[in-house]
Amino acid sequence: MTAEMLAVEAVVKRYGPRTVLNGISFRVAAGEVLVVIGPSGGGKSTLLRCINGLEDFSAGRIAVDGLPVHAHSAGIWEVRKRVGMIFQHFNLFPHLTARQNIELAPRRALGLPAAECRARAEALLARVGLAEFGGHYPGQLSGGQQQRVAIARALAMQPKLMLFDEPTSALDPETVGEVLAVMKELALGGMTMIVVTHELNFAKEVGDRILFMDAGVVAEEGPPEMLLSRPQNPRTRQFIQAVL
Amino acid sequence: MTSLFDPGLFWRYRSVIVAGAATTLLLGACSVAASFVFGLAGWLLKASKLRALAWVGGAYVEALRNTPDLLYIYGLYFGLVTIGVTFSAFTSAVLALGIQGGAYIAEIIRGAFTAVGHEQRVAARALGLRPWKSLAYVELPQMLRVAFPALGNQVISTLLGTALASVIAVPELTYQSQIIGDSTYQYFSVFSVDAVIYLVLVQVLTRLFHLIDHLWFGPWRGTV
Amino acid sequence: MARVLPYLGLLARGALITLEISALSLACSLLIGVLVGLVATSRAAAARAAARVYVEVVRSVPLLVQIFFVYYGLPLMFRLNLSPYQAATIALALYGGAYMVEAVRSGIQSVGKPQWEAARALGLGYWRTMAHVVAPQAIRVTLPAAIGIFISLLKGSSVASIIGFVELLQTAINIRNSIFSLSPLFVAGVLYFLMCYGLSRFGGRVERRFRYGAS
Repeated sequence: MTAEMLAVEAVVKRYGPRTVLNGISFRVAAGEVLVVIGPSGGGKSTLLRCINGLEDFSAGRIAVDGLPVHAHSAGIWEVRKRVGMIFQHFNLFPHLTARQNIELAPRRALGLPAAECRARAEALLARVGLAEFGGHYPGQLSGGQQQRVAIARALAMQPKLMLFDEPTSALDPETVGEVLAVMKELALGGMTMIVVTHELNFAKEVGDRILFMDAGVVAEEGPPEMLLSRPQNPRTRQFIQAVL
Repeated sequence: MTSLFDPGLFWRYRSVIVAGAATTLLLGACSVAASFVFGLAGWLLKASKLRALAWVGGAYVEALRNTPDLLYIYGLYFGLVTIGVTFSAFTSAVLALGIQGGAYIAEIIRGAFTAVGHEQRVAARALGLRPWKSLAYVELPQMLRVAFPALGNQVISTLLGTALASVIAVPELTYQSQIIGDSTYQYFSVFSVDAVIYLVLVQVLTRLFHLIDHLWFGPWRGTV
Repeated sequence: MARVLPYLGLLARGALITLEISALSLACSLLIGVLVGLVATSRAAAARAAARVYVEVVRSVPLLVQIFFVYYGLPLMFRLNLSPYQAATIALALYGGAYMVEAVRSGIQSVGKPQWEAARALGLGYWRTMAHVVAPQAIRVTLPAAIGIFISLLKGSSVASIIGFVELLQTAINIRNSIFSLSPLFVAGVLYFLMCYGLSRFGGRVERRFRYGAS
């Protein structure tokens, strides 16, 4: 019996006159890798930000690991401890070394002793293949290396759910592979992941389910083999043909 | 007939000159500190979500940037007596220079805050860092780096502003120079040296700030 | 507060005097700025260095000291007599001039190399290019900066009160000494604010117009 990690029910989000999320609903089970695809402006990024309370929403309900998500409540900090987020532009802290980037949150948000944070950082750096780069500043690292540090930084909080917002869109083609490799390893290790991406090969290899989002709702969902080769919805078909 | 430039003058009055320079530095340091305090307060007010506070902050910044320093030096020293408050000359000067510098510093901080960008705050929050911690460990260090050159210039500007304190008889360098000038009539020499001393102080400070900037913020070069 | 009412006319006159001396100094600053600015962008290294020294010195010495130097020191050197008005104008002109050099220099440098090359290809010499190609474009950067310098001069003119030139601030102080009230200083503050803030808003409009105007 797998636990449910994320429940999104009829969530509505508006930016002024524009409705970005239009009553979207779906669930994610623990250990599942959900890939979200769709045209730009379809609300995918906004959806991720609603899940960890970086944005609020006007109607509907979101629950992470059983905890309700309300952007401005005191309880949101508990949610953020369980959710890790990876951004398209990495958002590393440029004034800290790679190691310090990873150590910061366990040290200051969880209050763990310095030695333990150090140990975690070293282990995670090794895990993402950057063991010798701990003392480097983000400005000295390539895009792919920075994104791997960003993944290590999120993992340092030992999250139960990881959100990836177009993690490879801003990378040079040569470095995309190294980041996808790390993400693949995470997925195979049982991490619950929601990945917004255009990398359909990744979806095929590692995804358990694909969600096609359009106009603020789930237009179609299904396992990769089915959705990618035999999509039911004409808009899904249109999108996939354009991307491939 | 006295020559135009008399070097011996400075040897004779050396203790007065040194005392004046020391007072200038002390006055400068106190005024800079005061300006940082007013600047921080001004920024917080102006950035406040409460409209009334934001208006007060904005008014402070605009008023101080569009009026002369000297007005406040006189006002704080002579003017407040009428409402029963007396400040010493030194204190008046520190407060006057402090509120003036503060207006510029508030704007410098505001610029730096915007420059650091929203996404850094977002990333910190996503990691579970609460607003105060995010400010202390993520935003302020970056803001400091962005603001450093402008802050350095403002410090120098405040230091040069201390010369105005001479009008209310604070015994800083320019006041002492006037005294020496009035006794010896060697105005050309006296004000030349006065100028040179400020020049040296400013150049030393400028080099010092460059050094600090290079040492402290150097490793980040090449980052966003 | 009411005690100051009869003196409002005097204060307004003081404001006009402030405006007048600032405007005159601005005009001189502009002249100095253009001349030295051209020198600063010339190909002669010695000339560029001299220009840099001038700018550095003026920016590293308090305005008050510069005014004292011009009023008390220069007469000794040149055996002439300067009135407070003359000395203040000269000092303010030199002070504004240094900032104007930077403004002119940035203006000239804002016109990229490609423009110079295109002009040369069309057969325009240095001065023709300067006059017809560079200057009109440089104005877009220099004019807003010049307005900023005007504001600095308006505030800086108050320092001239110390050598006995009666402008707005000194007028306010004289009134204060008669009626022992804070109000004249307050009114002077308002007048300075109106002048400077008004100018800065105007400068903002000018800058915006240049930005959205012909590229």
